[in-house]
Amino acid sequence: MTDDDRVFKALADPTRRFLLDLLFARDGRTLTELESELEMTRFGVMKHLKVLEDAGLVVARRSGREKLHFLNPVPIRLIHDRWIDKYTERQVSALTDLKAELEEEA
Amino acid sequence: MTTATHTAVTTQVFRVFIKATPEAIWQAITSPEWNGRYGYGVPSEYELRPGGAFRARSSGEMAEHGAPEVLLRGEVIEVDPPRRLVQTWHPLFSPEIEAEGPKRLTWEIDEGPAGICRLTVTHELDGAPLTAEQVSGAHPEAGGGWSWILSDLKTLLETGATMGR
Repeated sequence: MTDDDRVFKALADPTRRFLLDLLFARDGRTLTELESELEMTRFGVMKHLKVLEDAGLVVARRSGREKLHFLNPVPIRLIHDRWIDKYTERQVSALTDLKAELEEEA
Repeated sequence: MTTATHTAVTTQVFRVFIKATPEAIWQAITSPEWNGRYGYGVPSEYELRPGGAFRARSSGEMAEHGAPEVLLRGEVIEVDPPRRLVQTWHPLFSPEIEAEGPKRLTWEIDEGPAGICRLTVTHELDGAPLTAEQVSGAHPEAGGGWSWILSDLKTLLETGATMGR
């Protein structure tokens, strides 16, 4: 599996997207804090966090006795640069061309 | 069940996997010939010893738009090439952001299998909401913060090209 595959697979699940949204709202949470927001066993949340960590979307760091989970936006940035930019650019340039053509006719 | 009061975590963590040697990544971070070629394109000088100075100068384009000559200042705290660099990072873009003061920034390079290294950047941003917004990429018109810088660094090291220029 490539890095992109892992990110898309991780994002393909609503619970995992919800976990990312939680960390976006407030970063650096413990497993216990994340678990309290979900109707799911601790083990279930751990499994989802593992998928997110493997995809690089979540980074776990030790802080004293606690393990804090941080949202890592870099893989999404890389997907954005690789995929989104490419396609939106074409739309924008199509519109720019259309505008130029119409203005020429006018 | 989480009745304990949360101390607001203001640290931001960024991680990227790069197919390059730890030495190449270390050089790309610390040498102005390299660090001026990706992200915002600001050549940054490091005196690589504890207590040494860190200084980033505005690019020509930034200076034309009224940026101060020295864009970032800081102090080197810990140097362990090519694995770990701890420094302070003090943006001088505006009087408001300058007033937030220097914050601690840690670069960690971990060598993994198959010639791929893991670069983790940890920025401790307590009491620096303006700096935090900037580096998180919350202002797209001002660039994409660390995510963008690290994506561009990866691209430069893996392909020899960058996105911006």
